[in-house]
Amino acid sequence: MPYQVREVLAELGLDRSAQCQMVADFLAKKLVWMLEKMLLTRYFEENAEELYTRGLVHGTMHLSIGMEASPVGSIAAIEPDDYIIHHHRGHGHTIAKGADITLMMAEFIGKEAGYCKGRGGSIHIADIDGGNLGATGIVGSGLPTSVGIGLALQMQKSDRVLLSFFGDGAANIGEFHESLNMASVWKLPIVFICDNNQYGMSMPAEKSMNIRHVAERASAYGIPGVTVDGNDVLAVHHAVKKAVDRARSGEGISLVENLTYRWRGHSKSDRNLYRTAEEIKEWRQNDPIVRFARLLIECRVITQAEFDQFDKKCKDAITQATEIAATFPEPDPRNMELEVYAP
Amino acid sequence: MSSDKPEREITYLDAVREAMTQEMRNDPRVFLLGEDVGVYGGAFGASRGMLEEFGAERVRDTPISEAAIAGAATGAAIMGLRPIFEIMFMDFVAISMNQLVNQAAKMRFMFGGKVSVPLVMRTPAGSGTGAAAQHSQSLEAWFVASPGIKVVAPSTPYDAKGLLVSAIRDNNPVVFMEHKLLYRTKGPVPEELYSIPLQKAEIKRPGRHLTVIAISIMVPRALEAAEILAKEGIEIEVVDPRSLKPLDKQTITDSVTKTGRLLIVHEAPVTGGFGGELAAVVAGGEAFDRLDAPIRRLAGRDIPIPYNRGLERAAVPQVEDIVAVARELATQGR
Amino acid sequence: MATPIIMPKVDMVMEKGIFMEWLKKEGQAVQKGETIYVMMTDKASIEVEAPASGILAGLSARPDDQIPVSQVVGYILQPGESLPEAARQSSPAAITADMQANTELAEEVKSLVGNGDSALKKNGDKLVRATPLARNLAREMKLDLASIPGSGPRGRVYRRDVERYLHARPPKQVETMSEVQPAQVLGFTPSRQMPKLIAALPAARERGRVVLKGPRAIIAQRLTYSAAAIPHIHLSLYVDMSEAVQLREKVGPAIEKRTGQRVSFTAIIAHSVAHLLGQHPVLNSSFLGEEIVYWEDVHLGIATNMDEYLVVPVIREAQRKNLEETVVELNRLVERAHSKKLQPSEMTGSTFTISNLGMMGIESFTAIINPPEAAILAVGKIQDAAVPVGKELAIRPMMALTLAVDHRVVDGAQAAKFLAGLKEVLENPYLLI
Repeated sequence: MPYQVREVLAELGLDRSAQCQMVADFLAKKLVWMLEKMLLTRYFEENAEELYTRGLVHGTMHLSIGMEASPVGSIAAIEPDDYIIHHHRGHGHTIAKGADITLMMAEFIGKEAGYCKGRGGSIHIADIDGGNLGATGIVGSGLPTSVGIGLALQMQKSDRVLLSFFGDGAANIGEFHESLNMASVWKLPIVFICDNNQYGMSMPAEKSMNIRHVAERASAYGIPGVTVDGNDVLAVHHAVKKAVDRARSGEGISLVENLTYRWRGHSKSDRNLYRTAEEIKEWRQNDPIVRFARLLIECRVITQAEFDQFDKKCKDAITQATEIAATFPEPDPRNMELEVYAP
Repeated sequence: MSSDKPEREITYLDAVREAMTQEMRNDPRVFLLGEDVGVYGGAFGASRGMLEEFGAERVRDTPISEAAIAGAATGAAIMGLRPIFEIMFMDFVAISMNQLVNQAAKMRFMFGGKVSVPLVMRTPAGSGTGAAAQHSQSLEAWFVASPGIKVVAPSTPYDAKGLLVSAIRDNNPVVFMEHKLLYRTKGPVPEELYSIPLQKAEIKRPGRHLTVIAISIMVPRALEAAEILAKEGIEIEVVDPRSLKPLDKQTITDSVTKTGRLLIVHEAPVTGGFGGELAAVVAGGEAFDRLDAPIRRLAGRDIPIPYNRGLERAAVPQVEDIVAVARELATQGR
Repeated sequence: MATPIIMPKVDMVMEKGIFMEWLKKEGQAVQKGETIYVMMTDKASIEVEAPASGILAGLSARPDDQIPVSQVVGYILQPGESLPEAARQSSPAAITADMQANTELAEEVKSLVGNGDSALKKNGDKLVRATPLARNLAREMKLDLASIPGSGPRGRVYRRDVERYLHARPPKQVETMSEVQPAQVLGFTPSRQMPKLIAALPAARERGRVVLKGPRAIIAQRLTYSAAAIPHIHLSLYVDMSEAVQLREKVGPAIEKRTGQRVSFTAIIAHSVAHLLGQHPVLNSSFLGEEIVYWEDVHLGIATNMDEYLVVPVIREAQRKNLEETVVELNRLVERAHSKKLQPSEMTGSTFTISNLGMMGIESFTAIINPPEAAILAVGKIQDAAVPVGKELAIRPMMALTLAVDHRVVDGAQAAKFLAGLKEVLENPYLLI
């Protein structure tokens, strides 16, 4: 039985005063940024889902509805010229890292103007110029590549860091071990972040590990590891910021586990036979966006009316992006061989 | 190659080291990583002395983690460095396959051309040292079949140095296959830095009666066979593709057009091996109408490499096998 | 606006879903997210939720209907809304009719495939084993591969076997006309009819060597045949081109303005030939051994020099074209020839050929007939010459025309009449009107 919300909040929840203190320490602008990114992600995902059911999107997609706080809180803790690498459920990560929604949409529907010129699609979305070094469709494949990115940053004497996102399923793949081991030995400037939504497709995390928290594995590499309520965007930010500072100072890697939940199935063909409707309903009450919005309103950072405005703005932005993206041309199938190799 | 002064002769292994060393002096972005490449100087000695010259950052020992090593090279490459990583035995590349084939080979295409992955994987391959099934394979066919990867298999010290330099300078993932039995072979190699372009085959020995395309260790064996057959009046033309992908189809086609007969020799098992690709290229191309005998492949038997010395020998083509098959193919119907 | 209820796509490969049943009725109120119908894919049974709250209306799907992804199966109306036009008209029957048509098509295809087997019946050919090179050689030499003994395994024929076979046959002289088979007129040189050339090669260093293949080989074969088998006679005369020059000056700019194409003398000559041949059918014919075919259409081959070899693009139905059309077509073909875009269909099937070496400075020459044609016109350079006009000498632009004809088909007088007629037309262009 995966985590129930009560357990999570009991074990990991920050108390109200701590949260209010965090709010006070932040610039209002940054708080609003986080809220908007989460709203954009939510609407992006819902829109993508709708396009999919209408048969307009080829292939499949992996939605992160309900998981918005992890990427947004984490990326809020880095600078614009830091790097991220992520996974197949990475729309939120891509949005938080500053991608243009229209170009993202264009990639989804396979248009030439998309971030990967329609060659990658949802599972391989990347915004290289923006420091988003790509999603990968092979579980855990981003981990060894992260080692290389961190190595390059270290050898180039850069003070940039890398956030390497992976899921609870990837925590069990062999490359996880090789990568964290090597990165810990070389003290690379990487923060490894586990988006633990408690299921690897249909397999609950508790059935695929003999330990309770993925973060417990940190001790195996002699690095700090922490588990966080992944639906509390401020808690996520807090933990990741600490790890980022450690990485930037040259002290090495850390492992942050953001405990969260996905509302939709693994992909579009998932029939949700492996979990109960009650469980899904319970977690939907723990909506990271609702929680954060309520906190901000309570702390008088924004008003309800302002929230409604942001809400509408984000929704409209997605609609507009979709409409524009639909008008872009399809890619040309000739000469694809010329795109395989660099000159 | 200048023929003014006598070339010094060095071993294939030394040539590989020289290529790496000279390029690393030339370009600070190039670095080497792998198991035992630093203090030990490389399991076969390829990087002896390099740690002392370049330091531990650029000649980097790693834990036994072929996936992470390949991934480290991939990630570093997309960030602008030019890594060379050594996989101690080509057999171990199976552990790196995910990073090589699913990430390195495909990132450029998947990401719409926005990244390039300039890495080189150097790896000792091949049988004949009694290392048995899991330390003796030649897996070039796996990589030839993966779009996004280039594959090079030099057979002489001169080719090894020039092609490794090109591989390092290439902006794509290159698999550089070194046959263990070639390491001690000697040949003339210029001291200065030079490069041999990829996709350029070489006719190692011209001949009229039969084209023999040979890969890696089979080149010297084919040349030996050619000497023996020349005494019988049979002239075989030995073509060394050197670069398996991209392939110099023109030189191969012209050679078969000239001789009308083709024998392909490689060490990897015959079924699914690179020879099938070569045969199809020739049979489907201009040379078809000039074929005066069936195309034949002489390659490894479809078995894992055995331990026993005699069995190991019998598992792959030897000089006498090449002589016999080439003789038959060159003379049938003549 | 009415919210459509669609058949959703629920997995990567899904194209159609099978509608199972409505869980609510027409006119019933539903909440957004409530399940309103069940459908099936080939993997599972799926409950579909209402996309909005409101009243169900226009429910068109029926149990067992196969519905394509994103097709509308019903609507949810807000109070005061009504169904869109389309919904009121479409009926489930339309969907099932579609399915019906598909089944019928499937039956038709099945029946065709069933009959296909008989078409693949063996036609009793004996399998001949031979190397590609041997096959090629035998084909070129017009040898029956099956009659050549092969020295290889199971009778495989090698090149050497074909060569041995060739050398074993004594060289034949062509004794009588009837030796030349009709089929050969339309095909390639039967070089076995030719005496073999045995000569010593010069004792010289080789500069280069090229395998004869492609167009070069074909030209070699054709010309060998033509020179050997067709008895040529050549007639020549000079044409005073002053009128033609005037015609070109007068008409050229207008044509150029209309079409962007320049008028060449070759075009003028081609145009004249095309129209004149109608009165001289014997020069627009083909000798087929037993018969002579006289062609209605004039497909004019214009020999065009490419660097490596000759191509002869063909102006089809030249007799129907006026001068402007001839100019446009000729220029188009020449341009395509130079940019190597000519298709085989544009280079074959001529009934008469014109070859102009005038622009290369040649005053006159004789050409070889292009089988299966009966004639070829060789055009020389237009150059000023002193010619008697009446009792005076005048300088006129003169052009040599040399006509070669197949003497089996065309006799001297017929050839002369045509050539004289051509001279007359070129010297008096208005005769063509």
